[in-house]
Order: sequence, then C-alpha cells, then structure tokens
Amino acid sequence: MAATQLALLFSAIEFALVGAILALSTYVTLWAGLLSFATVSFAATGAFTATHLMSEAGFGLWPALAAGGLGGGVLAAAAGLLLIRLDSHWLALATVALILVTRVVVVNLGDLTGGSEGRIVPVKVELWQLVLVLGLVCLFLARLARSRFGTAAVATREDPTAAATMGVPVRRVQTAAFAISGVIGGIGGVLQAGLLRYIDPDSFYIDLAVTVIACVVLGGAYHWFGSVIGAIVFTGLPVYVNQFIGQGQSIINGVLLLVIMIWVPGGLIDPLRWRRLRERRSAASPAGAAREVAEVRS
Amino acid sequence: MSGGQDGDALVIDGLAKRFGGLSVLGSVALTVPRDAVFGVAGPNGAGKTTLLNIISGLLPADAGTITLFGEPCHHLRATALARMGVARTFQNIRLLRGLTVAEQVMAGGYRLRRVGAARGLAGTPRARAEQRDLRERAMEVLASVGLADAAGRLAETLPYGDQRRLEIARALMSKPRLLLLDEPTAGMNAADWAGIGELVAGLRRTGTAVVVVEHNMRLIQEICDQVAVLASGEVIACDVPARCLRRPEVRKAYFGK
Amino acid sequence: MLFLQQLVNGISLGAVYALFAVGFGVVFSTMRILNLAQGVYATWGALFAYWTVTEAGLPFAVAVLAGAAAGAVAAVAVDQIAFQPLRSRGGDQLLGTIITSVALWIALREAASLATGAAPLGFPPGTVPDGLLQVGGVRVLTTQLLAIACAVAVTAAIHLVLRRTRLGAAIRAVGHDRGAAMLGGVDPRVAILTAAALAGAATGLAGVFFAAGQTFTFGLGDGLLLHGFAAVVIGGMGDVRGAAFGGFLIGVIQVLSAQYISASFQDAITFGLLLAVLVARPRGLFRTVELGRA
Repeated sequence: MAATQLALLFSAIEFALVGAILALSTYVTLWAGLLSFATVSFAATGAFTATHLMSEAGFGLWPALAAGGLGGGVLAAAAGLLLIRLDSHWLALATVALILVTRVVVVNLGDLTGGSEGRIVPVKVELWQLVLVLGLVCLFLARLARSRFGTAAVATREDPTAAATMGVPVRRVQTAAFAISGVIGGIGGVLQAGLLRYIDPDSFYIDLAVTVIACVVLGGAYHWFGSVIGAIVFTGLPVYVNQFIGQGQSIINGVLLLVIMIWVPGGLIDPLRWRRLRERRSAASPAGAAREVAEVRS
Repeated sequence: MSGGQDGDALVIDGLAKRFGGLSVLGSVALTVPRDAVFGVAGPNGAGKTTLLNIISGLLPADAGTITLFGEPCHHLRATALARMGVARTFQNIRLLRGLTVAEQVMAGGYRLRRVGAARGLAGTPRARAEQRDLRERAMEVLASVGLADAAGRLAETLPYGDQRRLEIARALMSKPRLLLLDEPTAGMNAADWAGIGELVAGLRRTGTAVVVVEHNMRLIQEICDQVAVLASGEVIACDVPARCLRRPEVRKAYFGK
Repeated sequence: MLFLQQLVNGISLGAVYALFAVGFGVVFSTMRILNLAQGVYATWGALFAYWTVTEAGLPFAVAVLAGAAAGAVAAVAVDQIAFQPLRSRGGDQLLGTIITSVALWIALREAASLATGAAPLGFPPGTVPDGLLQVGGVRVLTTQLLAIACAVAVTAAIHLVLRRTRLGAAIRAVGHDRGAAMLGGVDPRVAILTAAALAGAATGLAGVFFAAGQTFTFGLGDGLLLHGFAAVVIGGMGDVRGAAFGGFLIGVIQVLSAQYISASFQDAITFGLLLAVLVARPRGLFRTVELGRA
C-alpha cells in the first residue's frame, strides 16, 4: 500500500516538474506582454522530433533535448515573425489556431510522428534529470531577469509606447521572448514524452494547453517562480489526488481556476501585491522606509 | 525661423500632419539651438503634443524634414531616435506599473546598457560592473531631482508632483542630447513647478537641449530662451518669450480678441 | 452527382457550424469575450434534447426547443459566473475572461461526462424525423433540411434583432462602450443577459442538430468549438451573417476535402485557412468590427 502511495507521489512530482517547465515556456511570453497558447505546439514539435531521433537515430536523452529545444525554437521564431505584428488579442487567437494546425500536421506526418496512432518513446526520463533541467531553466530565467532583456521585457509589457521612447526594441524583445518560449517549450515536450512513454496527437493539445495556462495564472504573471508553484497545483496534485477523486477532477480544477481569476487575479505569487503591502506597512514606520533605501543602495 | 546651422540640436522644416480629413499641423518650421531651452506654447488643439509625438518618433509626419544634430531623422521611429539620444516625458505621466522609483529610473537607462545577452546571462564581471554603474547613476539622477530618499518606494505611491519629477529623472537617465517635456507642470501647484523650472534651467549647463511644451506661461517666461507659439497647426510667432507674448496675434490665439 | 450530393451534405454540416458560429460570434462581437466555454452550450443542448425525447417521450420539435432553452440557460449561467465578476473590474479583461471561460469549459464538460457516464449516445430511431427528399440524384434528409432552415432563420432573426430593434442597439452599445451606453440610459444587465441567451440558444440548436444525425458523446462541443471558432474568424467577427457564412463555408470545405482529398486533410484546410486569415486579415473576410481597445 505504502509502495503505491510512494510511486504515485513520485509520479506526481515528476509530472509537476515537467509541468513547471511548460508553464515557464508560457510565462516567458507573458513577461513581454503577450498571451500565447503556443507552448503546446512547441512541446509537440520538440517531443515528436526527439522521439523520431531517439527511435530512428538512436539519440540519447541529452542530444534529444537539444534537438527538441531547437525544433521548438525554430517553430517559435517562424511563428513569431508572422504573429508578433498582430495586436495582442489577435495574437492570442492566432496561437490557438496554431495549436489546432499543429495537431493536424502531427496527424498527417505519419512517418515522423506515427500519425493518429502515435509513437512509443524509447527513452525514459529520471527524476534527477528533470530536477536538473528545471533547475537550469530557472537559473536561466533568473539571470535573464537581471539582464538587459529583463528590463526590456517588463517595459514592453507595461507600456510599449513609453518603452520605445526609452530605446527598447519592442518587436525584437517580443520575438526573442517567443523564441525563448519555443526552446523551453520544446525541451518540456521532450521531457513530457519521456514521462508518458507514449505520445499521440492528443498528448499536446487543448487539455495540456488549458493546464499550462492554469499553472501560469495561478502562479501570477509577475514572477517566473509562480509558474512553478502553479505547476505543482495543476499538474502534480491531480496526478496524486486522482486516486481519491477519480471523476470530477476537472470540475475541481475549473472551480479553482475560476476562484483564482475572480479573487486573486494576480496569482498567488504576486510581487506587486507584496510590494504594495510592504509599502503600507513601511509608511507606518520610518525605520522601514530607511531600510528600503539602504536595500536599493546595496 | 528656419534654416538652422550645423550644431543645432533640432531643425524642423515644413512639417505637416493630417488625421483623416483634419490637418493638425500645417507647415511647421523651427530651430532649437544646442544647449537651449526652447518652449512650445499655444492654445489647446494647436498641435503641440502631435508635434512632440512626431519629433519623438511615435507618429510619422506626412511631409517635412527633421534634423537632429545635423543628421536627418524624419524617417526614424521612436526606438531609433531614443538610441540617438532623444528622451521624453508624457502629458499623462507614463510610469511603468509595479516598479520602484529606482527601478523606473534604471529602466530609463536602457539605451546605456551595452552588455549583450550572452555576457549578461553568464554574469561576467563586465556585466556586474555595468549593473553597478547603472545603479549608481540612477541614484545620482534621483538625487539631482530630489527623490533620492524615495528610491525604494513603489513609484505609484509617490505624490503627483514627485511622479512628474520621476518621469523626468527617467528621461535624464539615458544622458539624452535632446529632452522633450510634454506639459511637465500640468496639474501642479506653484511650489512644485518652481522646482521643475530649476531642474530644467540646470540642464542648460549639461549640454542637453530641451524642448518644453507648456501651457504655463510664467514657466516659459522664466526658463525658455525662445518660444514658438503654435495655433491651429501653424507657428504664429517664434521669439524671446517677453516679446512673443506681447504680440497681438499671440494674444488673439489665446484670448480670441 | 456525387459532387452535388456532397455539396448538400456540406451545406447541412455547415448549417450546424453556422448556428454555432452565430452564437459564438454574438458573444465575441458584442461582449468582446473569447468564450471557450461556448462548446458546452451545444453539448448540453444536445443532452437536453436527447433526454426530452428518451426520458420525457416528447416529440422532436419539443426537443429542439428544449435544446435551445438549455443552451440559453447555460450561456446565461456562464456569463454571470465567469464574466460578470470581471466586468466590474473594468479595463480590458481579455486574459481574465479567457481563463474563466476555460474554467467553466472544463467543469461543465466533466459534468456532461458524469451525466452520460462517458458513454456514446444516439437518438433512438423514430424519435428523429427520418424523411428523405429526392431531388434529381441528390438525397436530402429531413433533418438536414431542418438544420439548414433553422440556421438561416436564426441568423436572420438575430441579425434583425441586433440591427433593427432597440434591444439590439442596446446590446451593441453595451458591447462597444458600457459606460457610455449606461449614460445613454441603457440597462447593461438586460442587454448582456439577452445577448447571452440568444447566443446560447443558437449554440444549443447547433448541438441538437449535430447530435440528431449521429452518435455523440460529452465531447460534442469541443469539435464544434474549434470549427465554430474558425468560422467566426474567417467569416468575420462583427456581423452574424459573416459568421453564418463562415460556418457554411467550413462545412462545405470539410465535406468536399474529405471526399476529394482525404479525411485527415479536412481539418488541415480549415485550420490552415483560419491561421492564414488571422495573419493576413484578422478581422475576417468581411471586415466590420474592430477588436481591442475601442
């Protein structure tokens, strides 16, 4: 009994880790102000490319990850060039269309993807590998946040007009965000394939897209770490909880998502809300204000 | 006054702009010498903000030329102009939401950041040095506008007058050669805008040319070397403020006499 | 002859898409909401029609009405639960309403799964009109004719309501600028609820006619959602006639490409066209409304 519990917990953690990577892929575009559903398309590209190379060319996990990331990145760059010039609402719709088109392509490229039958994934993915990759992605994003790109992305998101007058190349920043999202999504796709061990056209479709968006929403759009938390709740938790609530899990997820959107729209990880709270507390104590100034100077 | 000499900060000639059937700017010509503080005044609807939007690259002109420090730039958009050293503030303050005062100013220094993605990610000494320099400069700029103590506060919690000064600080961060201020004293009381006046006057020594769009005639008289008065999209007068404001056509434009 | 037959089949499938697209488009163009939960209105419309016939033993005509009513109720409920709380927040709630619509989509879909035991259902023979019309060599089922007639009638009716009645003007005003509309004396609640109900009813009808022709499951709404979405985008967001046209167009494309190219290609063309339109001409082939900050 305990063994199955442990196995389930393990599985939940593994899926949460991959879910976090996929959520981070969507987070990156949101960082630059773009709502995009395209992560699952990038994931599909990565997963099927990698699986094909693993099966036909004997690729191991790490080369497959590289290939998958590259595939996702290429698709993202191409899509980005087409879509970035669209107004944000249309961009969101176009990424929905992209998911639909991707699935059709997957179904029709039978030789590469196994068509509607799907394919078995020959390589398994270990927990430590997942932890490593997620760690690297997080490190990358943390560094990115402190670089020139971080400032540019925030400015682009908050006020593209003002950002342009500050010298921020808005279109290039958005395209870069898209490309990065593609690479991370592709990598996530490969790992997801490695967990599922069998992928078909529905593995990277609307259900996953909804889950990914839910993770990012829960986690909040203002800090990448939120998406990781979101993944634990919307990806990992269901895997474990499924044994208790077989049916009706989507109802719970739906209600949860609704509640978040209505009452905590900034997500659980909302640095802006925390800053505002700190401000209010500091305003009461001058010592606090002085401390903040000292913090900035350091 | 058109024509201009080499070394003039800004030379505009024959600038025109229409929105649909409405002509917003007829044929605007003016010259802003280097190191000058140049005012642009005029009643509401005269086209002042449109002019500023065109100069800062947010709107394309329909006709005419713009030359910045001798280089033609009427075909350039905002990002390119920013990189050439143009910075601006906005009529309705546009601060980036969620950032602290210090972060706002540092964002304004974007064009100064030379360290590219690769080095930035790796965290090389050069990258870290640049970050440090940026932060230092941000604090200096904040001190020069009197906001150093508020550095850690959320920008949106500042009082109105301080927010305006913050926006100016953000523009100054990038060491602009041409600073465009869009109604920097709008909505301010006398104490606040006197401070702005001092700030702008102080810029004269730094080699930054300033163009100020303003309704506040007293401010224009105090700090501007010259003022161009715009009415219905045309420059109806361009002179030293004292003389300009005595002109009958200027009084007519403002008071309709 | 085969071509004509498939053309007829395409038009009747298109009628279903048209009904769905009209419902989807009303919400989209009047309320500026991308409602991903729209599909479940069709599912529940179909379910209620099915139960009306199998549980209550009532005739098909009643079932059709029941389906429309169920769709309307579902739409109003979703609007009040998922969208109304966000409206008071003001500003552009694109992300917010997409997320909440997704939340209700997955919840209501699961509810339908539980209600049907995830098993496929089909209208028992005799409960659906099974007449057949023969025109030359082309066979048209009564249900197909009904679907087409219904689609045309509903499109015309909703178009007239939106364009020629005060209520319709109110709905359009509220969608365009709620504050201004209120200043003009319009009660936004009535306008919004009416628009939601109309949209839901049309979508419910789509579900009924879709289900009448075949076996269906709780996932009925998903397929319709995707194709309905494509129809609205391609046909044009601002005008229900464009949306209906888009629906008919896609129905025809689907059937003809399945016949003459391959079954798996039908979606390729539909969604490829969708993507192409979004990239090249985002307002659709009939450009009328501007989406985004007014």
